[in-house]
This record gives sequence, C-alpha cells and structure tokens, in this order.
Amino acid sequence: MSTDPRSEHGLLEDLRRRVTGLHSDEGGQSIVYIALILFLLACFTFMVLNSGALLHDKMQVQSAADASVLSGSTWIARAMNLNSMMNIFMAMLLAEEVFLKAVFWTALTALLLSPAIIAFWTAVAAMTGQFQIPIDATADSFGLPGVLTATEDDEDFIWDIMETLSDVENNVHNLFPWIAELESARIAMKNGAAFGIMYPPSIPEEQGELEDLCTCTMSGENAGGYNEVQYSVFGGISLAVDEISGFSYAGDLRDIAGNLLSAVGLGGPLWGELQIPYHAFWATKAPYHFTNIMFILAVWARYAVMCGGSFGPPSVTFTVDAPGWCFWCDDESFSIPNPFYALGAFFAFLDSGNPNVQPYMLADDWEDSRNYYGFAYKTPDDIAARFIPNVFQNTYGDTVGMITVAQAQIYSPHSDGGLFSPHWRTHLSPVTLGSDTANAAAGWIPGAGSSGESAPGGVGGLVGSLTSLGGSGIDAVMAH
Amino acid sequence: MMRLQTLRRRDTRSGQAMAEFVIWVFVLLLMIEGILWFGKAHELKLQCHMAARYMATAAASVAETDLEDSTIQSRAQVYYPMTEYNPTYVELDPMEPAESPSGASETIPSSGPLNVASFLSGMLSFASQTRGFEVGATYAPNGILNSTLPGGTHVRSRHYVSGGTWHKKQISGDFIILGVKYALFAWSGFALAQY
Repeated sequence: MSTDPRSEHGLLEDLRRRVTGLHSDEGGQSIVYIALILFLLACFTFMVLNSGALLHDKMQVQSAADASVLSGSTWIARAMNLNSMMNIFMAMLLAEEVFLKAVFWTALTALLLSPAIIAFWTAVAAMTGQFQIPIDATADSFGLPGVLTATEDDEDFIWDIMETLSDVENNVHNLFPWIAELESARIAMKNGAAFGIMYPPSIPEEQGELEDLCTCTMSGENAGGYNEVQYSVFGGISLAVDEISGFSYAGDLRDIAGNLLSAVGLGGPLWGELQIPYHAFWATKAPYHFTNIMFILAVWARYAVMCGGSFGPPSVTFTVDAPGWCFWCDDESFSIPNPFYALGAFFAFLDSGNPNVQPYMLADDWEDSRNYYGFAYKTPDDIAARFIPNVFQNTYGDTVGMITVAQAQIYSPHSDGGLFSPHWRTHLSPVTLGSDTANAAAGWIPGAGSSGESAPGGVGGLVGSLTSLGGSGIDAVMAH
Repeated sequence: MMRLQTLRRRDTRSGQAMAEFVIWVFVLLLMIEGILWFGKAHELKLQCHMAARYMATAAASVAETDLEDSTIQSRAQVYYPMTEYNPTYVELDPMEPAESPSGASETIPSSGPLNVASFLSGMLSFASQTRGFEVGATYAPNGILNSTLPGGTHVRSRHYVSGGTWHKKQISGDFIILGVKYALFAWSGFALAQY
C-alpha cells in the first residue's frame, strides 16, 4: 500500500484528516460568544440604567403630584377655616343686632306704657309706704326717646359690618380655589413636573341665609363648633346678672332670664353674656324689673323674627320677696304680660328689611366632595428614561408624557361643628379616582377637547394626557 | 507522532478555556459590580428623595403637629440614616425659583417683565409657608472592586410642600374670638353710654 501523499489515496486521506480536524478546532469560536454576550450584557446594563431612570421619573412625578394636591388642598382648608372664623364673628354680630333691636323694642314698649307704669307704681308706693318712686325718673320718661334713634344708628353699623364680612366670605369662596390651583401648579413645578393641576377647583360650601347663623353656639365642646363656655368672659349670664347691683330681685330675675333663654334655646353665653351691657344699661332705668323682663322677652321675640319660632309665652310670672306690700300678689308671685306675644308679628313686619347677609355653610353632601385630585405631568422630553417596556407603556406610547395622580382629602376632627369650627385640615389619601371624575377633570381644563393628541409644553401635554385619561380609561394612560 | 500532536492540541485548548474564563469572569464581575453600583447609587437617590420628602412634608405640617425642625431632622436621620454616605440636610429658600423642567420653561417666562410666574411664586411662597429641603449623600463604594469604580458621586434630591391650614390653633383663634367678644362688649358700652 502506497503512502505517497501525492497518490490519489494519500490526497483523500489528507482531506479526510483536515475535515475531521475542523470538527474539533475551536479557534475563533469564543469571539462570537464574546460579541454576543457582550451585547447582551450591554443590554442588561442599559436596562438597569433605564429602569433606574424610569423609576426615578415615576417617583419624582408621583411626589410632585402628592405635594401638589397636598399644597393645593391646604388652601381649600384655609378658606374653610377663614369662613368658619367669620361665621363665628357674624353670629356674635347677629347676637349684638338682636340685643340692639331688643333694646329698641323694650324702649318703645316702656315709652308707650310708662305713664301707666309710673301711675301704677306710684299708687303702690302711696298705699303701702314701702318704697318711693324717684321723682326725677319720670321727668324724661327714663330717657327712652333718645334710645330709639340711637339704636337705629347702631343697628346700621352692625349690619354694615356683617355685610362686609359676608362679602369677604364670598370672595374667599370664589378666589381661594384659584389660589389653590396656582399653588398646586407651582408646587408641582418646583418638584420637577412640567405642570400640575388640582381638581375640583371648588370648596364644599354653599351659600346660606342669615338664619343659618342662628345655629351657632348650640353644639358645645364635643361637636367642636363654637363653644361659648370656652370663651366666657364673665362666667355666664347668671353670674353676670348677679353682679348687677341696685336690684333686690336679682336672684329671681336671674332664674327667669335663664329659664326664658333656655326655653328658646339661647342658653349659650354668646346670647347670654353679650346681654350684660344691656342689663347693666337697663339697671339704670326705672323700673328695672319691668324693663329687664321686657328686654328678655324682646330678645326672644326678636330672635323669633330672625330665626323662626314662637314669640314667647303670653306672660311671665315671678315671685317677689317683699311680703306685705304686694297686696295683689297670689302667694307672693305675679305675672307680667308679654307684649311681644301679641305684637310680635307687627314688629316682624317692621323688621322685614334685613340686610343682604349670606354666610357660607358646610354643604350637606360635603363628604362626597371632600376629595381633591392632583395631576402632575412630565413631558416626553423631561422623562429621563429612553425606553419604556411594554409593561409600563400606555396605549398612546410616549407621546403624552408621564402623568400621575394623587389624592388629598379635607377633614376636620370636629366636622359636626360645620363651618363654625375652624379646624379644617387636609391629608393624602389612597387614590379613588373614577372615570367620571377623570372625565370631569379632563373636561374642566380649558382647551381640552375631544382630541387625545398631545401638544408641546407642560400645559398642552397635560391637557392631552387628561383628555386621554378621561376619554379612554385610566389604566391606558396611567400605566407608567 | 499522532498521539503527541493530539496531546499538544489538547493542552492548547485547555489554556484557551482558562484565558477565556478569566476574561469572562473579569467582564462579568465588572458588569455585576456596575449594576450593583448603579443600583446602590439609585437606592441612595431614593433615600435622599424620601428623606427630603419627609422633611418638607413634616416641616410644612408643623402647625398641625407642633414638631420642632430639629425633631424632624433627627427623625429623617433615623428613618433614612445613610450614615456611611455623609448625608447632608439643607433647608431651601422657597423664594428661589424652581429648577424648571424643559416643558415649563418653554411656556412660562422665567425672566423679564413678563416673569409673572416668579412673582406669583414668591408671593405664594410667602403666604403658603412653603418648606423645601435638599437631602444629599456622597456615594462611597464598598464592594469587592471598590478601588476600580468611581466613588465620591454626589446624589441629591429636593422637595417642596406648602402647609399650614390656618386652623384655629395655628392662628390663635381662641384669642381672636375672645378679642372680638371683648370688642363687642366695649362697643356696646360705648353705644349705650350715648343713650
């Protein structure tokens, strides 16, 4: 057998060896692997960086939305606290107005009846010899005519203040939601978003009537409204009446005053303590026991004109502690008729021209309107991530940028106090955005039409995003 | 002869595998360390962000919580210690203009007479009791290849929040209500004195 390599057999053998060698030759193979795996590792590295950037974008714009709605709704709570304080002031002024009118009514009644009253007490004094009527007290009918004109002027002054406060409330109600909008946009931008808004731009208040102020002070500590005991200046009306000197029936008058005011629901010192100057005033007018009872009855009737209810009892009975001189008294007690019981309707007619005072009250459905939604937006240019995986992608691609939503909720630990309780606050809460609200938010923004296309710039992009959000469901846009 | 050549060829392949293995291990370690490094840097960034977010929100809510700024800072340091990265906590001036992203700067003038946004922002910052904090940290790599990777990278995050709802306690509402009541008493006495 020839082994000559040049022979045909030798060439075939050589070729066979070379082909067989190729199967086991690994030279150059690792270059392919290295290139492939380097490419994969580069992809992984890019994904790591991109995921970090993506999460950072999301985190930043979510924080911007949180801060935006928290700051915006702070202004809503501020508006409610401002209006709560002004409602308390207006309730005080209403009490002042009631007392002024009661002074007027009492003075008018006393003036009309003064001849008969003076004659009566003069006769009693002459028959019993127990006391004397001061002669000079009758000369000018107790100085009552001047009271009539002065109270009218003072009433006008009080009404002017109340109308001013009512106007301020109105401005707060209308202006503060827009300040809240500015605030939410500003804070969103300060925190890295291109733009942000808060929805709804409204406060859960509704314009009420003068009568709505009547409910103040009724609730007490637990309800969290204005609590008169907390702001007592003289320890309440009872102690205050005791302090008034020169009248021997103070204890009895105190009881009558307390019972009368409690009966009409005006036991709170707002209505009670503010009477102190007037009781002190009437204590200088004779006969004090008449005018004070008249005054309290007038308060009752005046309150009824303002706030509804009856004009008081037909008469008031009280006990005298001077046995021997009250010869007509039954068991040392007698009754004084209530002139306003019969004349209340007439006085109400005279007072029909109440000023235009419309305080804002907490809306009945405020709990359905307590949620505020903040939307923060990043334009496609502002998004650091260069690639967004499908799982993060929305159906509009990246053309609408990145938008997130946050929710804040106004609350008050004393919400029973309504808008007489300046304790309103806000906090972040889980998002409960429904499609209806999203649609409403999209429709509210000026310029948000039916088109879902994005526009350049922060506002335009946000409009496009929210329009898409409202029109096509939340998940599609909010996915990333 | 054939046997010797085969043995030599086997030796060559063994060396090649070892060299490839070393290269692969090096590249893989580099990649893994890089991923860890970026992950750690990102975690640090997150921590800074959360700390700044906590500080701004808590400081803006002082009216509701009565927390001192020092308490808030100490809590932030407890919640987000980052002690090995020398964290810094700086309160920002809310009157300073925002670091606007491109979308905002395109649509809102940031200088000149039409810079209404800056004016409004300053006014709102003053009225809103805006609080802003920057929390920063300097990355100090401590991995097995720390000498081969860049350290000293500084990450920071800023956050602003407005707070304070002007509720009764915050505005000393008790004193205001009592003041109005005393004023009405005084006015009543003045008015009645003229009767």
